[in-house]
Amino acid sequence: MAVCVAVIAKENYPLFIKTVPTDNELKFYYTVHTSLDVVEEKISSVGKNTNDLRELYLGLLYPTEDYKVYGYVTNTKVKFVIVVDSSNATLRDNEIRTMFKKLHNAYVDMLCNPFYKPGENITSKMFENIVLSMLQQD
Amino acid sequence: MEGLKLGAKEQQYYAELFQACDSEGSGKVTGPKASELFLTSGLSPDVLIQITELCGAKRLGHFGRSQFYIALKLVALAQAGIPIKLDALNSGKDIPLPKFSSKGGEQVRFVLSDRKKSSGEPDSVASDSKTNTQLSGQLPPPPVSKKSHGRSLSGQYRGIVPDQPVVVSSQSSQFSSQMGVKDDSPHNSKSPPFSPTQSPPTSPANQKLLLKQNTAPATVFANSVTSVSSAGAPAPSHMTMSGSLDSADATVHLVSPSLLAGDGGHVNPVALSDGAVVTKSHVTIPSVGGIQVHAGHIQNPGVQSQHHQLQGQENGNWTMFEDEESHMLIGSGVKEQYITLDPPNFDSSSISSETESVDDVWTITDEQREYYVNQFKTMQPDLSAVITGPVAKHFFEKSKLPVVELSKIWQLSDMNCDGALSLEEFCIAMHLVVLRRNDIELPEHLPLSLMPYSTLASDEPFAADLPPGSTLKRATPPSPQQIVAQWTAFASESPDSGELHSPAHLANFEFAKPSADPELKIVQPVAVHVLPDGRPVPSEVCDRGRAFSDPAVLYDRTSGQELGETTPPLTKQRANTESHFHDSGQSEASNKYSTPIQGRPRPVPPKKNAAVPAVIRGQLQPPPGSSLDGSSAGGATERPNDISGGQFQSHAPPTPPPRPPHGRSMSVDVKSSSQLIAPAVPPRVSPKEV
Repeated sequence: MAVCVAVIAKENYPLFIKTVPTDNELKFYYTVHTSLDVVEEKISSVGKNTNDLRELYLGLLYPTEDYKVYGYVTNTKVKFVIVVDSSNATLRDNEIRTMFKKLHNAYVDMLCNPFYKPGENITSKMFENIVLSMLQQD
Repeated sequence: MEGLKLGAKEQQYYAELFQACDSEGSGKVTGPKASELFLTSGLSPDVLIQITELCGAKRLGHFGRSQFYIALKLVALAQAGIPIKLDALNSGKDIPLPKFSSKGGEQVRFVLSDRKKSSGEPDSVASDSKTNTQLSGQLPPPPVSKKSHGRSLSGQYRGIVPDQPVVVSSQSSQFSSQMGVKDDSPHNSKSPPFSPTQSPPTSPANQKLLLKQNTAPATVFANSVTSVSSAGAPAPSHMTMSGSLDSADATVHLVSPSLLAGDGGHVNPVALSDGAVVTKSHVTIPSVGGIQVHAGHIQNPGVQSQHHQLQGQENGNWTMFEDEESHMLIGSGVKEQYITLDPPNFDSSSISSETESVDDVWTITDEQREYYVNQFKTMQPDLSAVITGPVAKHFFEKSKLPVVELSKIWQLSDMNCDGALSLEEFCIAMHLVVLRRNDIELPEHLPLSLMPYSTLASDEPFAADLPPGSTLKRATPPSPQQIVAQWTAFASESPDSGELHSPAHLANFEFAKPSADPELKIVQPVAVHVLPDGRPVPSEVCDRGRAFSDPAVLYDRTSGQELGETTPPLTKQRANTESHFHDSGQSEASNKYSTPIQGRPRPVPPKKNAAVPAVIRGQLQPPPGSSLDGSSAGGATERPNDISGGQFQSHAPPTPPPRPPHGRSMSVDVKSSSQLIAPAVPPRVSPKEV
């Protein structure tokens, strides 16, 4: 269901970004980029008070008329951003959470591979397959 | 290789031949020359090819002294009608000296060092007669062609007459071409690089050893050829090899497995008994035979194929990951195709059959596994422990494969994604690396034959990581897809799937060694509902045997509400609970219903409170079919109610306090009557409340 899935590193550069094939993919990239501000805002506000209670799932970051953007941050400040189509009304919050969970698990599995250096672009096929599964049907 | 045991006469003869062939005096005989010589032996080219492979010259690129001697010995064996095996080299003490006769064509003049040393131009087709005669007892005219002749040896060698010099000149060219062809053919791949190991022994002791080795290789060739082919070379090649072998003198048998053992080309330090030259890039020929079977640069470290120690050659030809050995892996000169995956231990006869049947590069052979285990031990003495990521990374980087491929291999191997490699995982990874080094592409998913399995003689070939209770035996064929599906399902749900063992156990199915019981097919794992903190829900009475895909569990975390809905029929009974209570008036009914209620374990772990009541409700509902005659009960908003109504009717209400089987009223009544009737029935939320 998602139209775009992105993984952003701690330093806010993209590790992985994948969109549904469309003619204007840049739009999604831009959206993800702008969503980073919202993410930062969310994690900064919570971080001070509840140090380790910050929930990983950030929820809806901001909606636009065409789509909604959801965010998720890991404890190592790796951010996952999912952009979904607004017309997809049936997408519930729980499902988004599930998607993030899957993403997180795939990310962790990929991290376990000693041949992957954290911070480099994600080239893992396995990870990509999981993302593709999310993009296609979900 | 233990070394070729040659009698004094043989020794001398071989030495002379060697010298005759070694026109350049470089201590090695070139392929063409050797091929010329061998062609005159009267053996068929196939046989000669085998011999060449066995002796390791193929790999080496030329005939070192040891290879040459071995080859000569093998020729003798072949001529004597003895199957060419490396292990026969030592046994056939009484084998006559190989005879090389000049067979038409040009005659290669063998140069005998001490006899008539022709100019070291074996190629010359000169009057070999004299040389031949001399050679007769001595060296057959050294094959002029380069070592490549090995394979292409034609049948010239067939009937070598001792007195006749071998004329192989023409053959040499054939040899060379054949050799070249050989290299291209699958056979070539078979002949593992003898190479470095074959380097001419420097000392007499080495010579002896080499001799042995040389002869052995010849046989090994045969074996290797077959083995190689079987190992991984395309089946056809393999077949052809055997076919050709058969067509050959038919005496050529594949070398005993031992020879082939591990010839993967690793430098087998062990094998280098005499400390013979061990070229880094090549696998020493501890086991000459071993060399043959060395696919690519993978060589079994001699350690593994100890059993193949055929004359000391043992394998060792597996991928060598040791630092120095890594060269072998990488650079052993020619990157032949051989796949050493073939278990070295096949004997000639079995080889063909084996190779034909075991034409699966994905299967880990015993020797391979042995090798892998030993490699594992070098890093982690405790076989039940794991190798940490960085250590493994460092190790695999020695293989000089690109990081991308290593990364992919890791992903395929690390089943439980714990960032470390257990023994099984390590074997898989090693195997993939070995295959990769032999130019076999990595699969997208692990082939079943490579699925981790408990190495030790488990009937279940790849049981280790199968879902518990499942078996690849296909007694009831859970199809591989199913297995894979289950596997992936597990993996994907690992964090959430409570029913399975904790994620840490996901991949470690070794302990759950599936028995060979055919009944024990892939059974859906019994759902184990775990509490959020991972503890299994206490009341696991219900052996639902549901698959991991128990929707209840799945959704449990994510959609609590769904639990109620998705749980199995139990949930349907949700609404009935109240009715039950009503029925409780009827002790029997209530008992009947209450019992199942209690006994039935909650299908869904109480992950969400909301779910619990639903579950309970579900539980409460007695099996609809139990005794409900007619769910005629009216007003029942749900089936359960009807049922209860029916129940009421069926059973004479002991006490009719809870009366009308209406859903709502029931609920009301339930409350009132709950104390009376259903002591066992736990208070539950009425459906409508839910």
